Amino acid sequence: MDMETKDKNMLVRNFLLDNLHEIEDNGFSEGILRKLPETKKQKNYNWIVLLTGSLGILISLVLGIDTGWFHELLNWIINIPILYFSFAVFCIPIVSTAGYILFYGRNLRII
Amino acid sequence: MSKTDDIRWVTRVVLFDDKIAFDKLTCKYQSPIRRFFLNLTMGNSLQSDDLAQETFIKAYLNIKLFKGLSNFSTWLFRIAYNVYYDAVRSKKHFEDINEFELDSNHHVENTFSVEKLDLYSALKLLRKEEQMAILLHYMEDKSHSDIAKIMNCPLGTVKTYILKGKEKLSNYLGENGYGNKG
Repeated sequence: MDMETKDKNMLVRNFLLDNLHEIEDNGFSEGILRKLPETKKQKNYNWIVLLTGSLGILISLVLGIDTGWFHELLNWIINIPILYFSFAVFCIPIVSTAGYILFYGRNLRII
Repeated sequence: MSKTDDIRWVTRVVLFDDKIAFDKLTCKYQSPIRRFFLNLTMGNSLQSDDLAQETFIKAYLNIKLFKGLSNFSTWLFRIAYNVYYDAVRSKKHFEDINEFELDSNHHVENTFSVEKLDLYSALKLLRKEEQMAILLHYMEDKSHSDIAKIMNCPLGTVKTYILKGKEKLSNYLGENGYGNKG
């Protein structure tokens, strides 16, 4: 690049940079926030989950009762020590709080 | 706020329709986008704010289409570019964009200086594409390849726009005594 081109480059760059100013927000962002339209809500497909879930449970129950493994499962659950159940119940709030903090990255105020 | 923050805010907008997250993005990019339009409209802050508003609302409505392949700011400037061209085509905002009178437009921007007047007079000498390429490159610090993405044209064309624009600007500045300033 020759000197003349370099000079021209500098001249234009300096001139434009001299005119480079930050524009104060002055309520612009707030105005945008107010004018944001509602986006289309996603269709609610919960009924599919409920329907297939119920069908699954029903089929499992019928097959389970018919083949006898349902009773075996019940016996197995009954024989689980109560301590295990209590531990699981107490773990639910701890796990869900940890998940919430990790997912949203927020500090929770307990009090 | 870094590029990672941008991605984080965009993700929150896409997943949870979080308007506060979008507000963070608006706060960050309002200045460059409004400045870009302000220079393209030769200092008409009402027009430029209208265009900027349209840009942000379009960005919000189409944010799901942002794939993260480029910077969020490049994607936003691409929308701004389209908004500006749509406005020019429809002449909604630009009744006589090529026949504007500097003085009649400048009354809108209160804080303009002699240098600002010179900037707009100089920009007026350039073609629209040259103005955009020059503004994006020198004022918004965009690379040639980013400008090519924004303007949806080949890299070589962008380089030509910048070269020609620079030539015209330097001639204008030289004639107006800028070359002699310290």
